[in-house]
Amino acid sequence: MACDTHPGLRVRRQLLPVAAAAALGLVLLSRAALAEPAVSPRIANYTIAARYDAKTHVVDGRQVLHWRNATSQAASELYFHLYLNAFANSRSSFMRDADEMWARWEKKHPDGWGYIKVNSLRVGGIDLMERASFAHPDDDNIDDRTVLRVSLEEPVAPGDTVAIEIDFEAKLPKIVARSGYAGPFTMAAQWFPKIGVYEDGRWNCHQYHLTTEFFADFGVYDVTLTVPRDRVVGATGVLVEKRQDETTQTLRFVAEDVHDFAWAADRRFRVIERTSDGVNLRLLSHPGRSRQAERYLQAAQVALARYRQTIGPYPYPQLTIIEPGPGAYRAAGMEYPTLITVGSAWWMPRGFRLPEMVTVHELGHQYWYGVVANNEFEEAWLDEGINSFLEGRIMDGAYGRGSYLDLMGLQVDSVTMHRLQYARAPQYDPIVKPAWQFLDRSSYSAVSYGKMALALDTLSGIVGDEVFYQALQSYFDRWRFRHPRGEDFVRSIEESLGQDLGWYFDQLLSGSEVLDYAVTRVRAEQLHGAGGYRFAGQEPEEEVAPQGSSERRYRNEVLVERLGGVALPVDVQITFDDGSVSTEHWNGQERWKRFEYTGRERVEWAVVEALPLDVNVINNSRMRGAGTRGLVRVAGRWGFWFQNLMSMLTGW
Amino acid sequence: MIHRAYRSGLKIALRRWPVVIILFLASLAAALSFGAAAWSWLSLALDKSLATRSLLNDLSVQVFIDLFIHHGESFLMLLAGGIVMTVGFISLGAWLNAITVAAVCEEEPLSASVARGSRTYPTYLGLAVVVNLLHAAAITASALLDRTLMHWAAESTSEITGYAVAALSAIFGGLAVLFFATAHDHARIRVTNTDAGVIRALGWAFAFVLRRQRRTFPLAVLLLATSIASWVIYQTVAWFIPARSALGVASSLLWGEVLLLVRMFIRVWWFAAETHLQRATERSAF
Repeated sequence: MACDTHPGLRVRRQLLPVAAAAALGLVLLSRAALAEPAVSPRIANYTIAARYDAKTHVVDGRQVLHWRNATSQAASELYFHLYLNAFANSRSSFMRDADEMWARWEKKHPDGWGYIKVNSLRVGGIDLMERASFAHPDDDNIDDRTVLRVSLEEPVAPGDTVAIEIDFEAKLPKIVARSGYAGPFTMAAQWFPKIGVYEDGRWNCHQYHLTTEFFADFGVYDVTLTVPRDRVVGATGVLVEKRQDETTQTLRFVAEDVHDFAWAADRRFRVIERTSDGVNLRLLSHPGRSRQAERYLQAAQVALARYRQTIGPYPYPQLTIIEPGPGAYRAAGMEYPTLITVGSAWWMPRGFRLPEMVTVHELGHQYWYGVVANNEFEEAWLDEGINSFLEGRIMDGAYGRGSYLDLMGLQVDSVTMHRLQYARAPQYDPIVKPAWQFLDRSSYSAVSYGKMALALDTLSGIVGDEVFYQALQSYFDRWRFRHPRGEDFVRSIEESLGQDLGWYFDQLLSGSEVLDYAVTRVRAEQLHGAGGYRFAGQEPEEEVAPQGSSERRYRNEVLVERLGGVALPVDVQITFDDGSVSTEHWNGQERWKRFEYTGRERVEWAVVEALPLDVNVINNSRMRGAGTRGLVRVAGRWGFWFQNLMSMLTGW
Repeated sequence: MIHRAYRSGLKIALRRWPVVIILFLASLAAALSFGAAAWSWLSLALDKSLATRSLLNDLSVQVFIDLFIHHGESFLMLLAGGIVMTVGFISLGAWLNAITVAAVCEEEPLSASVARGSRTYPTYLGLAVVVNLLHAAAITASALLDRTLMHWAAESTSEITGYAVAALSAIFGGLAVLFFATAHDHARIRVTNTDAGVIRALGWAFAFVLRRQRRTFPLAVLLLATSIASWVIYQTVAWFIPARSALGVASSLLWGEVLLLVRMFIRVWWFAAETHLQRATERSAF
């Protein structure tokens, strides 16, 4: 690291002990770097010392951030995320987006607000807070205080590193979203001032919105936490040092090549550790949840093994799995580098695989977000979509047809699950769109998770699973510990598959049209062999049926229509009354396609291939005559349930 | 006394089998009317899709998702129809209950029971409305209790506290519902025997059930256990009927109707046993 070119580093002797720890961290880092080259660019390196007061839920912190300008342009300002200010009042952009949902929360927890305050921000010993102001690059909300902009005395030249000392105070909210406290449980995420990403002469540092997640540069985090002695703590990275006094304990965690740091604490945590694929799985679960704990661990083992086979090995020594306790479910189902939160309920039956699904999904984020670190503010689909697709494949592979739900005869697999998600709001927004600009959360999740997963499922079906997995692996290898954009993903996939997929990605990523193929006509008309006139030259002659001909012939017609705006090639299967099947291929470009057959057989039914993205599978098939047997089962069963309900309500 | 009431009730229910048949036919009418409405909705929504056939052996969740998404509005109409039918059947149920209690209270021709039941029908209807409101209140109170205690349990260091709270709330709700249901039965019997009004009959029944709780509750629990046992037998057998063919579906539905017939019989038995208990208790009081 080039540490001697900026004034900020010439005053190291004036720094407080935390800076010494920072220096020590850097020395250790340098030694480590000598032994083995860093796998990431290590642009933002934090040394943080923080003390948590469990009664007031306040974190008092001091951090030294070594930030390197890795671009070719000087930086005259610095931008910081102050995420916790999203929960400071109802005027933040986050709360405005959340609307009624958080109005209910506010009513329930009137004292549950949180904030983060920067007490001082020094570069080269000079406090720059006088020059600081709040920025709102995404909207006109002047009340939003989740982005802090600071003008520097001297710009940071390309390639230079600056040391920034920050004293801050963070009050955790009653858990609203992801971060906060609930009873003795604490989830500290987005809890410290975090620098944005400097790209091409501008800061990429978005406000915290209801639908946005995160984006940051890789680095080394050396974090020392002082918490009450009775707390069991799980954090990003690995524990390297532990000290205790009568009432507190001080824990030091180090994480290399990550881009965030989160920690959780609870005095009720039970720690279960297991090694899988060379990775130490450290589960912090709750008493009385041993069945759930085993489910989390098994799912994590399955996912680690599957990822190793298809994408690559997990690149860190440890994965910490946090199960937020009762009342803290809003912290569940999140990913942070080397730490995930999962969630379940004690009564969750085996066939309801929510614990497994959440574990597999959040573990997948270690790859898509953790290692391949795309900008989640601007292109959430890039990690959520790929991750949801692979989560589905892992779940299906591990748990079979009812991989998500297998209860009372109902089976839900990954495609069904993602279709359910997508069907909630398929038509409002394209996939490629900044997360905060979606119509609402429903549309955001429908498209970023559901549609993208289905789009990848569909593409995998078209090109073949094996080559598609290889293409994903190649994308991972190419972009690990970097920040890919959407176009990088498309280019990487195209190069791996050796084909131009513009016809596919253009309509699915940039458009909000849906895919819906339907069989709209299935007919068989008997041909009357003779009748009318036939022409012999210019003279009409009455047509006469040949004697003894009793064979019936039919003109069969099948009409397939494209009802949606998305056009993809599909197969159409036509089944005849003698059991024979004819398979036709249609490029799907026109609005409709007619298939006609003449022969002794009558068409019985036709099925147009139901691609995973198809928004209506009911109309993908059609019979010549109406079927009833399935209706008997469903209508009969519903009638029986109604009968039981009536018996109960009338006291019989 | 409980044992005698239980046995006596069984004998009366066996003698009054036509009432059982009437109750069963009424419940079958409920099944057929809603089943027909469901059939109509499904056949319109599915049109000639292969799903009309494939649902026989594959209850595809995908099909149901698309049904609810693309035919959600007409499904709401089906539900609205179901609510109207429910109101109608609760109303019809009050009348049939009045006839049933009349039939088990007196050894008289069925026509006389119908006439007596029709006379007390308005009071029965009033009782049904009040008691259903009390049931709703009990369930709401149970949920609120659960929520309040769960909030407190979130601070607990043991999750067992949470389980205990859930169990406690469920027991509270269950006992409250059992109490109101038992009082409802005794109020109905009181109305048939004395022509009392809704409030007077209910007030009397609350007092009776509470004062005679060592008799009324065990009998109610015994009859409830009988009903649950019939359900367990039904489920055990139903588990082995593969509903993946036309024959399997028909067998499954038929077996379901056997369960309903048994439940109707138990209901008559229940009323008869409670009538016996009420009379025996009143006699012993003098």
